[in-house]
Amino acid sequence: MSQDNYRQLHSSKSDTGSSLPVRLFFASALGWLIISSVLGLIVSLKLQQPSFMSGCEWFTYGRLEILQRNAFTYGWIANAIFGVNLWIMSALARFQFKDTWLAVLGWLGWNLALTFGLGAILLGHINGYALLEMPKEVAPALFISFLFAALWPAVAFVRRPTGHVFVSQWYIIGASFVFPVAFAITQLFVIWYPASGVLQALIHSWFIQNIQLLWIGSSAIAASYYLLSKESGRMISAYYLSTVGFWTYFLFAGWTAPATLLGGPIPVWIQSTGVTAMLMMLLPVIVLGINFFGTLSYNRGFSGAWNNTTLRFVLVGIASFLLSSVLNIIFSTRSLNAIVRFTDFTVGLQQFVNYGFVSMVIFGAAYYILPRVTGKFWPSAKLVHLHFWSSTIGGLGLALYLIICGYPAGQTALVSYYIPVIGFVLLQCVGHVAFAINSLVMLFASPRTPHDNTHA
Amino acid sequence: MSDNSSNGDRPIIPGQVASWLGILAFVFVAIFVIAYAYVAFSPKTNSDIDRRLAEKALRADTESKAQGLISTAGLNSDGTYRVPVDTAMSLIAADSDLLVKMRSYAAPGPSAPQPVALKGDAPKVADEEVMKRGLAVYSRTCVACHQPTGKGLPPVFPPLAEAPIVNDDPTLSIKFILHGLMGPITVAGTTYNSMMPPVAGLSDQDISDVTTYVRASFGNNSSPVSVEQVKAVREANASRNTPWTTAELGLK
Repeated sequence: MSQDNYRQLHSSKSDTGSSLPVRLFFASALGWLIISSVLGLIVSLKLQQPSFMSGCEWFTYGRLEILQRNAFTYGWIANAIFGVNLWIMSALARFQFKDTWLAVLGWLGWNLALTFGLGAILLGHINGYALLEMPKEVAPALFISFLFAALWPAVAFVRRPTGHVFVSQWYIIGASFVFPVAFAITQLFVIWYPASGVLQALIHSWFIQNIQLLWIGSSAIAASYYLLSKESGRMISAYYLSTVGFWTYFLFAGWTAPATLLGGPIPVWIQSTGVTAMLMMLLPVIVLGINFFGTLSYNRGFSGAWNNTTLRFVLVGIASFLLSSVLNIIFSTRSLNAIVRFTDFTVGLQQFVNYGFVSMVIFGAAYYILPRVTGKFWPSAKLVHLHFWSSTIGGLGLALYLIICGYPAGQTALVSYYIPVIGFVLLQCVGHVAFAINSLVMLFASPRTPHDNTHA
Repeated sequence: MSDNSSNGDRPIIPGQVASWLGILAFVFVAIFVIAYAYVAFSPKTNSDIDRRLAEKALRADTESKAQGLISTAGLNSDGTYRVPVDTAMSLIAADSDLLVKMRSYAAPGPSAPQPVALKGDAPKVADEEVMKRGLAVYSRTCVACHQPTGKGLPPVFPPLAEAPIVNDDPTLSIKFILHGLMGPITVAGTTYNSMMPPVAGLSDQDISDVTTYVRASFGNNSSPVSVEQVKAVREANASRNTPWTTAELGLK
């Protein structure tokens, strides 16, 4: 396997058929990352200066905040996950992607539909459900584009030549099927043919948990497994446990949805089901912790990881994963949840997962995959360092800051309080720009014009 | 891999695309299954649930009435049934199997039912014809609350079976049927506090039949009630237009 990668690293960039779609997905992911960073900056500035850009209806807080969330999730994370999953699966299953144009079609459809959807949000056509805010006419386009763009990992799996299935493959396969099913079902029963009353909220929370844990989360877990063993050159320790981790993760994650609605007007037994599932999530989290940190725990593994660009990001990512999961589980118990619900604590916890875990792992994966896809080396090591520190301090710092400030706010039941976050967001922005410059130079610059930063 | 041959022609649907189409089919099947399960098992709106419960209650009611009507007690001596026409129509409309059941019970033969001779003086023991008519009236008017068993539905509808209030003085039963009853009343250790509405549209004959039937059924064993007794009670309270109350009648 390592010989295979060596060959990929030193061969021309069109070695596997998947390199074109992977490059396209990464390029658009970068574009959306920059857009969502700028939007995040504006949004946090508006928290501080409510009059900022308030003259125009388009740039009111309500629209921009939703725009930022959707651009971040469906633009940055989704595109990056498409690319990472496809690449890892092609590498593990030795998949020569021949019908690349289908995936490129999906990439085009996804990003066009997303652009239209976000434009509609900007014009005020907004549904009242998080991550379903884009107008319902966009949803079928997103769904079909997903089928074109992101089922290729499953194809690679079906047509794999070798018998052994790596743990990364399980998580990627699971993730490939979770999104279309959860998205279609939720669109049908929340937006197109709304279910009655409280059922909508339940289905929606089920959707959110599926997206967060089973699509985004399991994709990032797959990448963590892959990068950890590849870059550290070791077997995953206690690999036999990873089966338990996988099945318990996929079994319980979908059931945790009602735990996010604690205290809401839903039957108590449903809430209890959610809390129980949340507690059962301890099992996969412990297994993943043993797998991840066990692998790094001997023979100077941590210092080795710290000195490796990819693993440094992944290390922060998996540490965030474990911490945020444990916090999530602890604070889904009724008495503690009563304190922190509706506070910035939950916002911080989400930031912890979406940024500290998922985005950091994707950054690490990008630092691993892009050189192998383009056949070039990273242009600037200084920008990589800038990216790491500003993303870690900006992203993780913001998450911890919100968590630490949110808890006392919930305890004292403050009605209005304000937590200034602009510094953290600015820092994230700097990191993202550094990352984008580095990557775009790599993706698009020919050797003679290294300063061409435009992207498709 | 099968699609690795670079010199042969590619098939119309290349292997990778065929796999992809298979996975697509899997996704759509999964979505369909979940959506179907949701539609089949999800609770509906409150009005839907109310309507379903009402339909269920109606079916149970119809069933019990039908059972009462097609039992041997409702059978005439010539093999036909005593069923009021409107009740029969509605029962048959509600339950298409009922007609078949009734035909299977009914003896073959074109003989018309004999008109029942009304007698001025009631016998000491209720005769079979009176019991049949009483059952018919009971099944039409009383069964919904007091149930085919006569045991009622505690704690809302009191039992008629072995209740002293039914078996002692028939005047009380006649009063309740004519004008209704309100207020708390204790039957067989359970205190009931609901309202019995007056049963409209019953003739003196009907009332005497049904009280006779009730007093001789469900384990009760009291004397029959005559048409004259009913007529006397009706005339004595001709001006009354409100239900009786338990306090007024000294009942507990």
